[in-house]
Amino acid sequence: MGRYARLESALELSRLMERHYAEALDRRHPRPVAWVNAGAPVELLRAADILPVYPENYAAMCGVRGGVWLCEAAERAGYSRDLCSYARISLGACLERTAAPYEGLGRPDLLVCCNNSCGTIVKWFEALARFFGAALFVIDTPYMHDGLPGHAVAYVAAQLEDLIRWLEQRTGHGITASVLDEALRLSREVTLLWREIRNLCRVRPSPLNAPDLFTHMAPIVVLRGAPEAVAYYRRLRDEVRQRVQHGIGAIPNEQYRLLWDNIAIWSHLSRFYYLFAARGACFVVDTYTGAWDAVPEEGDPIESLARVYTGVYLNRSVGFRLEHMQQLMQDYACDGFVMHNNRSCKAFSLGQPAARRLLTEATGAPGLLLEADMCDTRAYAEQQVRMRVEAFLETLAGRAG
Amino acid sequence: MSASPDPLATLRGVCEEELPAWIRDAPKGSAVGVACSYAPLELLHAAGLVPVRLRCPGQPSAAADAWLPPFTCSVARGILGMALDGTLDRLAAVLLPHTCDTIQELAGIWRLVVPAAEVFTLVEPLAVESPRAQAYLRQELQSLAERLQERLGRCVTDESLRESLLLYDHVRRARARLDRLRDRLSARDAWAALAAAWLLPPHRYVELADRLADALAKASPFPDDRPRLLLAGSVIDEPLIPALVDELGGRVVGDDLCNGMRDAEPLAGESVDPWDALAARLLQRAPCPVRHAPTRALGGRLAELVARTGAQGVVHVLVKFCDPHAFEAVPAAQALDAAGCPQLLLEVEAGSGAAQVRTRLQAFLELLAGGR
Repeated sequence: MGRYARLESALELSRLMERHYAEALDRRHPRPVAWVNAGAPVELLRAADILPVYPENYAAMCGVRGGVWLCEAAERAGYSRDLCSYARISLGACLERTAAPYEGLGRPDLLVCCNNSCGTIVKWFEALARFFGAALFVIDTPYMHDGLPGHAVAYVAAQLEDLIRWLEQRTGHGITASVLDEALRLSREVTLLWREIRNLCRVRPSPLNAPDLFTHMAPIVVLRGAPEAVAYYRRLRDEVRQRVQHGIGAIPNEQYRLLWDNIAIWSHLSRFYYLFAARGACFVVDTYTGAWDAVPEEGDPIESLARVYTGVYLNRSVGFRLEHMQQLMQDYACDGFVMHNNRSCKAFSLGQPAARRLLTEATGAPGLLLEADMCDTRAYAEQQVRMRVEAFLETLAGRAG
Repeated sequence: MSASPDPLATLRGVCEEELPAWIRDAPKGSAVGVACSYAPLELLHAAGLVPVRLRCPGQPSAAADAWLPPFTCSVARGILGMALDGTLDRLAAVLLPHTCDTIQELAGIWRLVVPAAEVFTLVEPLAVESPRAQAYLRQELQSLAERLQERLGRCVTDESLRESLLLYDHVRRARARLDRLRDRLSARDAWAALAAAWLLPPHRYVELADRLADALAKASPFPDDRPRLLLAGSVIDEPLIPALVDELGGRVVGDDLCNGMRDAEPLAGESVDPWDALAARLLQRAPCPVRHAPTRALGGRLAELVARTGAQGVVHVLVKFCDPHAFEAVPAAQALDAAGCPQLLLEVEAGSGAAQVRTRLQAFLELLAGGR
């Protein structure tokens, strides 16, 4: 990406993630390994001294490197090509462990997942649990069509209490209040840092572009509640602050500020976003990395976790998400928006055609709805994407006049 | 309503209508469309409403294409299309229970694109075997009753709910009786006789189903010389597949379908607390693959049903883009393989035509006939 300004923290990010994967694969360490999804209440696992490992993050990483062959391995085992490509990559990596990156992520001692992102995650984790013969705990966070009623909070809190006992049975030791408080404190701190970093993109030019956020979100997902994540995001925050102080933008000549909706197109992280950057269009805010923006409140830790993990972005209605995007467009002074209509993610994508039309009506800003897939390049039509992006950018240029 | 001279013709007829004709004649504001077999029909009925299942019995209306991505199942496209083109205008409301990601998202989309519609939701538990599920579901059902009262002025009392539970138990008994009499029905007629339970007012269905069962009980079974099939999968909204089974010389001896027998057990029974009884029934019924129910997975259930019915093969019907069933189809196939039961996975879309389905079914039936 030529003149694209690379963050110095990127090197530390690589080291951090290498260490994380090495630890996940190191069977000499005494901590049990739990495979968890990105929306699982990881603070409880950290407090139980369990190492959380994330198949979703792993699948995204494989997607960047080229994950179709792993999708195909899952398809040969009977999984439909229409299913989530994260799930297919993860299941394919289990089947092709010797050839897959990081030995297919090793093997879990137990699995924990939460349906606050989608129902697919539960079916995927059920398949993993069957494959490894490992125990699975599923946390059910009621979908928020119209807010969060008290009985739903109590329901999730009760399941979290059950999860604590389930973890204690497996580790043979209890979770103390002070250890849980510390995990929550670290989680709070890292989430606030991540929020601060994203908020710095409100300035013009934006110090970060969406691909930066997609890359640097990894620790907020896999190391939330761990001290090394706090140290990392302090460093990143300082670097981004410096960019702001010196008026350094993420792209050389920011002309258009855009909102991105949905998961990244991991397989084309450079090429796709370069189409925009080359024409002065910067994605200054997105709905994906904002999913890790909720801060656990002080007070009863279990109720706080119940509220945070039930209230995540994808567990809320299309109407809520539309209003949220409208607010982001205003806060970040966006000129337009791009929605990745992601074949792999119905939860994120089904409401997008309606949201695109209504968001344009509400803001007057043009929007592009682009069908692709986060990892499966067979659903990415290069020429068609290029033509549609160019037409969209011409519309933006015409409006700027 | 007067009794139909031919109950089977009436049951068949209602399955061929996009929206049952009785809704046109019923008082406006009495029918509620439901999009999933987890809808608490008893609760709606206890509120003085008549639930009717929303479905897509043919080519989905194109009206929804502008509002849904192409990778949306035909069921969701079909029912949103009916909302958009005015077909559902006579309904008082729709209820979309918490089921797959698609139906979950559909509720929010519906509210945005058909703002005049009254869209109710019910967020039922996913982990149906969790010890926490029953208390939560009871409260969620009561919350739905409060919203029905608030928005439609319909009141549910303990007594009305108790009566509706007994009535729907009667519906399930009538369905179970017809299921046992499949050997006197064509596959197409058995499908219609069971699917109609979701489309007719409960008293009317019970009356027709009982009369049909009485008549069948006196009839002789069909000769038992055709390959015996089990139909499994998500939902069959049009008669194409059972009709092809008949035409190609097979017979259906049982089903595990969303609009077939999957939810037929258990009955709610007499109960002191009807809310608990309803919650328990919804949690204890055979789970849809969308639910997390580790001790009651589809594969084990199918293997058991194969053993009980003597089925020689399973036709697993997968509606394209139905993710829970697509995931569950894999372990289900493994369980059937382990039981030595041949199977055919048929991926279908509403209104997509018969040619490929016919070819594959024919080959499967020939395989089974050859193995006899």
